[in-house]
Amino acid sequence: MDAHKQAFIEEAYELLAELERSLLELEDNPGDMAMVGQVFRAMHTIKGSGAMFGFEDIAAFTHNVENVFDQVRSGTIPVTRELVNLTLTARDHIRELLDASVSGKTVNESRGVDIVLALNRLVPLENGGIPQGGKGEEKKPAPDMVTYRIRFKPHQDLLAHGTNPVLLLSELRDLGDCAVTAHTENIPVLEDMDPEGLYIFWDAVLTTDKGLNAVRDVFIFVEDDADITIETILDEDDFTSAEMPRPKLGEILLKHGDISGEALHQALGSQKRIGEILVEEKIASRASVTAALTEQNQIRKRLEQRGESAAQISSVRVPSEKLDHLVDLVGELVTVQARLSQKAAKQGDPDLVAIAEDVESLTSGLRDNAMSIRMLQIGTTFATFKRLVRDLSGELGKRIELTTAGGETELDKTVIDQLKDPLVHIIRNAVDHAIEKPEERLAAGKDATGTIQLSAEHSGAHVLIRIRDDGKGLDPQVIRKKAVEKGLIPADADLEENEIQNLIFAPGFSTAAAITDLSGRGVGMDVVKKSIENLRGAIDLVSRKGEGTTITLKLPLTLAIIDGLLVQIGEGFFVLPLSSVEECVELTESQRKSSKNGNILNIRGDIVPYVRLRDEYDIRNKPPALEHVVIMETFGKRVGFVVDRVIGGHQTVIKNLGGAFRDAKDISGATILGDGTVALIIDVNKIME
Amino acid sequence: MGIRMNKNKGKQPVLVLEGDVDISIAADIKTRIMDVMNETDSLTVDLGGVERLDISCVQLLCAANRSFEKKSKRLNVITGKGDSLCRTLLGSSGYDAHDGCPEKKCRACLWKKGDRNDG
Amino acid sequence: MAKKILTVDDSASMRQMVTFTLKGAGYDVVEAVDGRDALSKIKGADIGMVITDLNMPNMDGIELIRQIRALPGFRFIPIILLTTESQDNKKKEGKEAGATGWIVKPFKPEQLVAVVKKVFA
Repeated sequence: MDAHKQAFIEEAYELLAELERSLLELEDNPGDMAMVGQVFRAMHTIKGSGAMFGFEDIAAFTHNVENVFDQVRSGTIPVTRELVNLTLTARDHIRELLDASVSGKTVNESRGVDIVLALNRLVPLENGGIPQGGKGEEKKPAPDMVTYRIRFKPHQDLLAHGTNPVLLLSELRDLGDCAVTAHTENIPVLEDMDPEGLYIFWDAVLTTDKGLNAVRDVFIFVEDDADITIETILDEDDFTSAEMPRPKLGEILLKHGDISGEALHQALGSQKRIGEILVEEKIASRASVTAALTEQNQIRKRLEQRGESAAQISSVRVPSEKLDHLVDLVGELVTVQARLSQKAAKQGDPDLVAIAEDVESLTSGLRDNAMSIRMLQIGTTFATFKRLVRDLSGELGKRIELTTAGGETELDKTVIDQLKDPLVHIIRNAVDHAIEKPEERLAAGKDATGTIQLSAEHSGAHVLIRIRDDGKGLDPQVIRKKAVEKGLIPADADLEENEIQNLIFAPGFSTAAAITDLSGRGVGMDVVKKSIENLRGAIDLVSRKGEGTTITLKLPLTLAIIDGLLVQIGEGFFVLPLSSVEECVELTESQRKSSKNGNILNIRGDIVPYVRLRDEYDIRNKPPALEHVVIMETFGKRVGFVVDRVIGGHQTVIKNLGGAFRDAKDISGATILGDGTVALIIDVNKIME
Repeated sequence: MGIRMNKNKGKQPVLVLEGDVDISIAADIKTRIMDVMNETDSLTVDLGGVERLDISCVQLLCAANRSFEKKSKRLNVITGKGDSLCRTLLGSSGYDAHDGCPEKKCRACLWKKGDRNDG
Repeated sequence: MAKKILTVDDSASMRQMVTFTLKGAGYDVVEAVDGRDALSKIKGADIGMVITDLNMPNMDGIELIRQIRALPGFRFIPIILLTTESQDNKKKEGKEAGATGWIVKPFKPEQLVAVVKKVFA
């Protein structure tokens, strides 16, 4: 597939996502004409580009939907739930067509026909009529400023019908800001001329808010007597300021069909001004170049009128594999830099140390930069859940509103990709089980409409994602009973309410058979937990019976490189994620011996339990007299990790452990130190459990 | 409405166009110009008395200019009192009101202000 | 050319409306009741434009357009056809006969003026 097609497909997927968002928004605010406009333009773009890049089926289908929305835009068709439903279905169909063009599979075409038929039933009959001559009925003007390129090429006998083309040009001028260029290149010598024939044709660039129909109406009497093309070159609502196109002269001529791509390419090869070359070489007529320049100026003028600065913010599309590769390389570089720093320190050569320090700061900058490129806003993912909740709640006869916050929070693309399934699971659970039916809710004194709040926020090197519902909450009694039945806890276990509730994440709490079948309570939550842990994240649940449940996901910003604290136990090196480190304290032998019952530290009056990592990892050599405790915090709980020695901060390039270590408890990965030694990365969340 | 060819002995011919100069007389104008084209080295078209002008006649004069140039002859246009009327039409027809058409196919444009309408 | 318009219609109320509207817009108007009447009035009256109804006794609009186009001096005059049928075939027939444009009845006065301006300075 060629690059243009690929670009169209990518763009179309984005537009479809946007379309879905707009439609759902429209359902909430049916009077939002700006949203109607957005839907229309998304359709319009898919149609237009689709046709240009050879996706005729998509263009043809979308055209029908666009037509209907044109009438919604003009107020003829009201925004109803039915309209939104149908348009969503249509949107899904476009997606299927797109998927099919990627995979080469065929699509059920009759479905498309059904959708179009259903959509057309929404169109009132009297609108099928033929438009009035002249100005036609007064229509609501489209509010946005659109710039059109109009080529008006009358047939030679135009004047014979009493038509005065100059009046039509004046009419165009009356519609808005208009520049007209006459093409006189076809005027022959007098001998060859039919004095009653018309040889001149025109290019016009018109910026108007009157809409395409008004432009078409100008030419209504001469449609059969002239070749008329009207193209939209700039629909200002389609673009944010930064994206406003700034077409080059050659591109405009190419679009006009005045020159061939090959000729343009050749002309671009030389050093002179392109317009001059094209005229000199007789590739383009001077009028064509003038018309193109006029068009360029008109667009420029529009940009200036919108108060645009000359500064351009442009963006580049890059395949994500390239970014992955970049991050890999940066990772390697960080490792090599660590070696350099170590070597420099050992050698003691001040020049070398200075160089190593420079390399370190550059590498660190490069790392942050490479990481930031991979960052995506989570809002796009959030938006897809709106549809999920809407569809599911409809099926279940529930009324649920999904609100989102913090959609602008950024996360590494890999994290976002892998986060989607667990989130779907959690949200489905909330819709399925947590939120009650309207009558139940009313009986419980709640609003008939349940709410699921989805929010994201930064917290240090982590992002916290919360899924909060105001449903019935988890009943500790029921969970406890089930956990005992399944043998997860002894019948007499002394557990707090929250600990009991968190048992739903325990493997085996739900049966394997139920994981695929979403109809059991707390189904597959262990799978969710596992996925989050694979992302080096943690999951926490707080629930109150009758009031609702909040699930919090704590996720690292990135999966590739983290800031770590390098520590030593015996001969082994370990890395603790620096983002969770609160402080380091010393642990003397006497302190160790004094806390006989349980490993407890007193930190400025707070009781903090600690874990001896050497016991955890079965390191048997003699501990030093003075050990160190690294105090870590997660979900408000503090735990100390006892190590022999704290070495310091370390840029940690995370390497996944191979299959042999898959079962290694409490270890989430490994990293290579400057001297080539391997250090293990400790999974703090696991140990804290 | 009037088409008149003034041919005074020893002087270049002058085609005087007056009143409504539009497509209904375009064929006539063509014939008149064709009639003198071979026997004169230059022709002046006087538009001073024009009350209405249309695009067909502008186009016709452009065509005539091309013929004259091809034969290395000279065609002049005097706009005189009719100047603003001509300029208005040129401007609304997508010509430059003072600089003629964008094509510049003719070595000397009939409509270029200051250049030609002095004769 | 004078801004004089010949309006041809067998309906008096229609003629009245057209005349009133066009005079209000600054045009001179001459009225004719059918095609034959129109042909007799067009000559020598310095008419710059014709607006004619389609269905009329004696000579209908289409035939009138054909005959006007055949008259020397009126070959390029703008002619607007008034139709009640909105079918394309009538418009097309009119255009083939030489009409410059059309207006579909019923229309509002401002639509009439807009169309006249479109074809007649």
